[in-house]
Amino acid sequence: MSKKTINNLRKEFPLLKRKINNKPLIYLDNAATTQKPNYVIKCLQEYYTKYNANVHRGLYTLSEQATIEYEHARSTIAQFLHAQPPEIIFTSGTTASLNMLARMLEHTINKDDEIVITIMEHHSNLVPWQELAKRKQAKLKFIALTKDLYLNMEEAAKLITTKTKILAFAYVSNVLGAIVPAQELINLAKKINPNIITIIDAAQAVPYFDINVKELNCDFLAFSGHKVMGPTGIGILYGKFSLLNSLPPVNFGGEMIKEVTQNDASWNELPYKLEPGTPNIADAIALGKAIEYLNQLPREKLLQDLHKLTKYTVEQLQTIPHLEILSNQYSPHPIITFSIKGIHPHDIAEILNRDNICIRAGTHCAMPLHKYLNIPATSRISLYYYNTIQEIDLLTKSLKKVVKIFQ
Amino acid sequence: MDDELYQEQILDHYQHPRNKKVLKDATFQHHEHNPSCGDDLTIYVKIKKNQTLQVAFQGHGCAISQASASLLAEYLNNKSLSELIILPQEKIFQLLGIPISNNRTKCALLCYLTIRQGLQEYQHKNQTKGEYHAKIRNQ
Ligand SMILES: Cc1ncc(COP(=O)(O)O)c(C=O)c1O
Repeated sequence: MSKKTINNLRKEFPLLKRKINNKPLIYLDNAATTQKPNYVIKCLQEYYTKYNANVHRGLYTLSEQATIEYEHARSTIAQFLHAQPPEIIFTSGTTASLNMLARMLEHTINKDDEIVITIMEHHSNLVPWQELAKRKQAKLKFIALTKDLYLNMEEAAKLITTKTKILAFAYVSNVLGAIVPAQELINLAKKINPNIITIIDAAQAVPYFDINVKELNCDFLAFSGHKVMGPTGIGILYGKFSLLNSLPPVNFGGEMIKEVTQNDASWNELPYKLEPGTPNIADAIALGKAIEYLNQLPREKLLQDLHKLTKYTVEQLQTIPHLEILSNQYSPHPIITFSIKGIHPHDIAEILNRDNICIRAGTHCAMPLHKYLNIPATSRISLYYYNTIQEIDLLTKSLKKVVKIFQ
Repeated sequence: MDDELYQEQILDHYQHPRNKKVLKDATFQHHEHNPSCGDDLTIYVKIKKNQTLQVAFQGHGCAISQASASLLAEYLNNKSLSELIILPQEKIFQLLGIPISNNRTKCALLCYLTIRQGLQEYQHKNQTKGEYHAKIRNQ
């Protein structure tokens, strides 16, 4: 991608133009949340100024328009994942999707059943299963990593048994950037137990590569809108139609029912059965726009460039004394986690902030992984399509300053 | 380097902490940690026969959290127990001597929280024994 193309892309993200203390902003925390293009921001403005109304209820033009746009967003997302619209449930994000799912699957879990996850999980794909296991006296098991920090598939083959009812895993680790061979893992699991329920946390995958739920053959998949240029407070739970249709709802209220009497209720059809109450209409529509925006980008080329930029970043970081890269150095995925001997990540992040460089410091909502790797806390850089070589050069310069201060 | 936060005193206490050791005969000790960032601290307090304090700590974490602990231990050594009891939170900021931003307050105050918790547990234990008030009165 030429410099001009990246510059044109950057122009569409108003926040990237922001200066603090007259210095440009360098945003390198994209795994936490991405910045938003005008296309998405404008759509929010338009919704609230032109057709704000409740969906599926009013018989007037505004409500009809809101409903059409809301359902259009669902279709866009369905198409993006290679799913059908009724299989797309709007939630408030990955966390909400996974929690809801854990409740929906609760009745399928019995004492001594197993739930298998990986040691790389974000707390949001760990604690809901941990709690479910506790409630049902089931066993939570963790697939560990290989020496070079990929998921240990041999161990997975041993850990998953006929007693394993649920397999849930992150497609991409938000700390290590390791990409899990999702299709292979699901095939393996289904071979061991054809009735196993497979769940993908795709929060870190959707922003970067194509997801095809048909090919993956996963039962469920969750992601967050805000990590893929959409607004906060909106996310998706995808589920296979037959499963979503047969599982009981766990949240109840308006719109999700077909009929209510004093003593009983029956459920509406999918997807409404699982979307009780007034949904987050504006943000759902805007998430649709974010996916439309993503679809029209030259993604393949952008991703190639992003992989090159990641490699460049790793090379630059390696020139910094006492810096150790802890993520998969050979993975092209643009998440780089590192530590500098004798300098705490908070101090690194604070000093970088003086140069308006935004990076993440801490345990990145993955405490068991840090414990497993025996590291207290780390710093993380995560890049997106709009990041540039110049930004990485400024980062390197700033990191050298950090080392100098602590010398 | 015109970096106020990482001025010499803080870096010095971070890189060459004072009183960083285990006090085996501590009167009380307390451990706290800040799970989101991994700052970790144990503070040991020994109340000597003459009612003055010996304070030491162990831990790891960011420069602010560790330097504050070192500064606090240095400050409290040979002070009386009552001085610890009335120690205000602001003292930590005063010892650091620099403005601390909102998102670093937690780091700066970890030592304060740790020693307060330890003190409270100790006071609670002694109150039930009835010794504690006598001790304070005698000071
Ligand atoms: C891998 C992974 N899973 C889940 C989440 C949770 O996403 P959210 O906080 O948007 O619900 C995140 C984001 O931090 C993540 O990186």
